Amino acid sequence: VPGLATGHEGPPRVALLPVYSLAGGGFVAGTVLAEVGAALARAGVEIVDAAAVDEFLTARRIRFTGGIDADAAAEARDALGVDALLITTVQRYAEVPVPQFSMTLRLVSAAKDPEILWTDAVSLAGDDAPGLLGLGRVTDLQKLQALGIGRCARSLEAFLRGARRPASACQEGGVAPRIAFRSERLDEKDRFTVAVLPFVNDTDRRDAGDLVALEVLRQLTSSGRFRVFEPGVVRRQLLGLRVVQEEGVSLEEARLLTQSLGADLVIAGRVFAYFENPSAFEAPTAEFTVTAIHRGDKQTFWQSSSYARGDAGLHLFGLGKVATTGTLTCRMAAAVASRMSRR
Amino acid sequence: MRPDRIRNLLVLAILAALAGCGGGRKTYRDGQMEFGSVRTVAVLPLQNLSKEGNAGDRVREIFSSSLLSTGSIYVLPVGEVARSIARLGVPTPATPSVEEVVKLGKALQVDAIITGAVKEYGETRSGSATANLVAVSLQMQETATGKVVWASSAAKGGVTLPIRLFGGGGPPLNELTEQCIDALINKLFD
Repeated sequence: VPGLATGHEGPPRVALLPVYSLAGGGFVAGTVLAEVGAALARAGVEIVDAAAVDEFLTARRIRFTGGIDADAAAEARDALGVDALLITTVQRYAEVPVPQFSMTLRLVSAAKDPEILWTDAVSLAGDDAPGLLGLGRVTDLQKLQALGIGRCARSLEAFLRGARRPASACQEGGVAPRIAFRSERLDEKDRFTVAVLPFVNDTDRRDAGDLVALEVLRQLTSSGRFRVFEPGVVRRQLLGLRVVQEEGVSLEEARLLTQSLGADLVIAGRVFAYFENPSAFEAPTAEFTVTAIHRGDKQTFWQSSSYARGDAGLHLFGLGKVATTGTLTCRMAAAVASRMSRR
Repeated sequence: MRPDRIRNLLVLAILAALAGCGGGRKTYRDGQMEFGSVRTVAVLPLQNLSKEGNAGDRVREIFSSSLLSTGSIYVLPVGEVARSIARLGVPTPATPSVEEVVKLGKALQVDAIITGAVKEYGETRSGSATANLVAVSLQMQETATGKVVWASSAAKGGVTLPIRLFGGGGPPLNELTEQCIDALINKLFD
């Protein structure tokens, strides 16, 4: 398997962690994992039995499956004999008013220093491409979910077969930040190591801070200029250092985190709007800030403020509409990552 | 009534209307202050006098980003400011006393502290017409003495004649906030 080099003979082994939900439930986790597992198998990867994974998680009292910390990743390598772990996060699974489905997949190496090997996401709405007389409209949520999983699974399969890391699926039509500050010192190094913290959530949407942070993380990883720490590793450090972000990260917290992780930059942010129930009168809306603080002199290397609505680029016949907040956030985060990484 | 008198009254009415639209917003600048020496500032939480719950935070974030993006002044991250406020036990960070400004200045190692208030943030109504309105006032206090060296205010949006005639509500709040902040930053650098 070209995309997943191992130090042993035989096919690489991957463990699928139980689906982590930021969508509030409703979806069939088994279906999601079965589809993803099939894609891995097609690419020649051996999947670890789900019961063994459950046993491993239970024995170590691991409940959070939205990431993996360094100790757990190393233990998984030893106990399950895996080379990597696949983390699945479902961000949106909703029927009203048009079906919507969003998910992110992340392949992380099972090592003492777990690395994000690949990540991709999909965010679909039933009316993304209605086509002539609405024949392309998807009204069945299960069908939309299958489409989304299929798309992610194909991307994973292609990566394992040797394709490059996927570029952002939504990069076309990136939504530039409304205001941005970029320090020239972002040009000092070819590659920065980055810890992305959960964003502060100032919205009514539960987990909006995690949703936006996950998208920013994915876009930074895709840019290739940043080595982004696995969120599970960052989460463990936050808990260990007892860092509670009420208004954002302080310089002292940034210093502690970067020192303990060995990261160059800490990225934090704040989400002010995350509206994902479009109607005839309201479009998907997202508004967030992104701040990157350097560890050395604790200076801000990047600060931006992004705001966008799904109907901002709307033309005749609904062309140019962005139907989901996931896609909108993807475009906004892609533009942030692109500007940060531009030299 | 004679036609020239009608014309004069019309001119007076237009002048009065223009005077009511945006004029009269004063800016205070301390003539003794060397603004070029202000390299680092901290923006404290803004007092929110609007009905919108997190208007103060929204405007503060946009102002911090905008000021930083000018490249002339370094703005401390909000998390760092929050930490110092908590450590010093400033009870009302939106309206600090002179002593608190001096203490914060030392703790944060900044040249100036910016405070202010969001006076309007949301929809305003005039007759049957509605439109978004943002009004912000800011002041800068130098941290050596706590003295106010700059103060200004700006407002954008509101029910204008085109909105009254054609409706539409005007630009979104976010856009108005950016315009308002741009106007204040221009006044700061004037």
